[in-house]
Amino acid sequence: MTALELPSAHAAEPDVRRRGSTVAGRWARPLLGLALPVGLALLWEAAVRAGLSDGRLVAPPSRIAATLVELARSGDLASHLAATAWRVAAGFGLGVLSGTALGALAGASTVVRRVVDPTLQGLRAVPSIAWVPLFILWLGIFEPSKIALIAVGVFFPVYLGVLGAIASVDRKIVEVGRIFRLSRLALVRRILLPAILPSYVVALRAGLGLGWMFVVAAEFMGASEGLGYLLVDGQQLGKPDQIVAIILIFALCGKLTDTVLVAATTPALRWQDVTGAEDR
Amino acid sequence: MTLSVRNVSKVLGGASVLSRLSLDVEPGRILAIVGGSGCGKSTLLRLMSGLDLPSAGDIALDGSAVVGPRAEIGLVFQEPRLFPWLTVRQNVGFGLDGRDARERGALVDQALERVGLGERAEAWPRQLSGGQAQRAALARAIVLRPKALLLDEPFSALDAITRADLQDHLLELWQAFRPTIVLVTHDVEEAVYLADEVAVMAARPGRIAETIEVDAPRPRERRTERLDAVSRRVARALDAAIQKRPAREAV
Repeated sequence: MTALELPSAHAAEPDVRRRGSTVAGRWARPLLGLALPVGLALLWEAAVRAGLSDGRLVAPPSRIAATLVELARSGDLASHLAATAWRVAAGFGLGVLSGTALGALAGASTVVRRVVDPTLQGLRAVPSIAWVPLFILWLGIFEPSKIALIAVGVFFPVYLGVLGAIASVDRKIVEVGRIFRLSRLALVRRILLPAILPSYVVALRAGLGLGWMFVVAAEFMGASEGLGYLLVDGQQLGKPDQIVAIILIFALCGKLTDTVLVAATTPALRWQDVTGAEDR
Repeated sequence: MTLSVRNVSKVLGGASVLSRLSLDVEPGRILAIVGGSGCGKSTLLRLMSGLDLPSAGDIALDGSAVVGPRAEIGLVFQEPRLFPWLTVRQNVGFGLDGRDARERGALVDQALERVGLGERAEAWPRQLSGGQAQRAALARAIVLRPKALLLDEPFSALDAITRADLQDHLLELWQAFRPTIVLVTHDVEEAVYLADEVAVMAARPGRIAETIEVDAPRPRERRTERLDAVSRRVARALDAAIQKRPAREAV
């Protein structure tokens, strides 16, 4: 090899050191991030215990924890959580399927894009909650209208993500596929799909976040079960500790499903994580 | 393989980019095409590769018309254009689908060896330097031993030392299986060092202004009296080809 490329053999050393520091950083950073909420919670707990507040409107952490335990023990939490999770899953699934299909069609065909995209962009401008009365008239007050609302929320980021990803695939790389005389199908499978995967994952994550957001909106309109119902219940019966407890559950669920989504797609995106620093 | 271009014209967006251009490259010869920017030399190479089709005229490889990309024609672009989601090994083996794994592995190893990139086979494109990436692109183009190899300013983005090194790798693999090579470049010394023949292009519309034989035995050394003399001739021809344009436009 040339003298120019010799340094690459030795470049591993600083790289190892850098990785070593990120192992320490892996723990230091989240701990730093936890300092503020945990600190505030402890302060509030102390304030209530010291009698500075009765904690009626904002329950101290200990009472929220007790509420959570009680909800879990009675089995209420599991059944309400299951109802909500099922709605999110169904709405997310429908939204992802339709968003991916329409996004792919509009991305692949100029005609479809010109016909469909303006209408969808127009519909996107409608606040999704505005659909609720219509969905209830069309689909009734039970599950279908709720799932439809969630699906609408998930649809747009996925549709836009797929459309944008297809539009931004590097024409130069597609040309390499032509040099190798790939069939249309092989071009899609071997070049387009891997090329759009990173933006697709981002779109799915955005969609999933909106799914959790819209399930609450859906459950506010006359649900008899679900985490959103527990929120309304907490408001109507004056149980702020239950409301905060459910908010925490939502935070956990959102973070957990997002983490699962990221973990599931990481193996396919491993190539993105490598840095170019190794050789420079 | 003989690569022949007959009376080829290309119109792009209403502008005539190439006009009735003809040239022949004999089997196993290296032709360098030099010209100012915008003279249509890259367009010509794309037509030869079958990526684009001429507006008029014919391009043929040993008498059979080139109407689309072919396995016998390898193409290297100015940018490496590696697939970022594939390792170097997978990139180089991209066109080998349908062969059994062992044959594929052997061909890829051989191609990587030939460009001096054997050690980086498992790296991702993002981990490569510019020179390494272009080596991988070259390996991908020669893995099937194409009968014709087309290169579009392949080394222009590299530093001088890496460029010289890759030029020698190109000559080595040319020695090894003697493809017909067409190299588009704006570097006169590179053209003269590598080629048997240098075609100087004039612009608007693109045409061959002059063809200059590089009459020097191989292996060559860089910057000998003999090559320098040819370089000066090519540089003069290039100057003349470029300067004609403003004068004509003024009329």
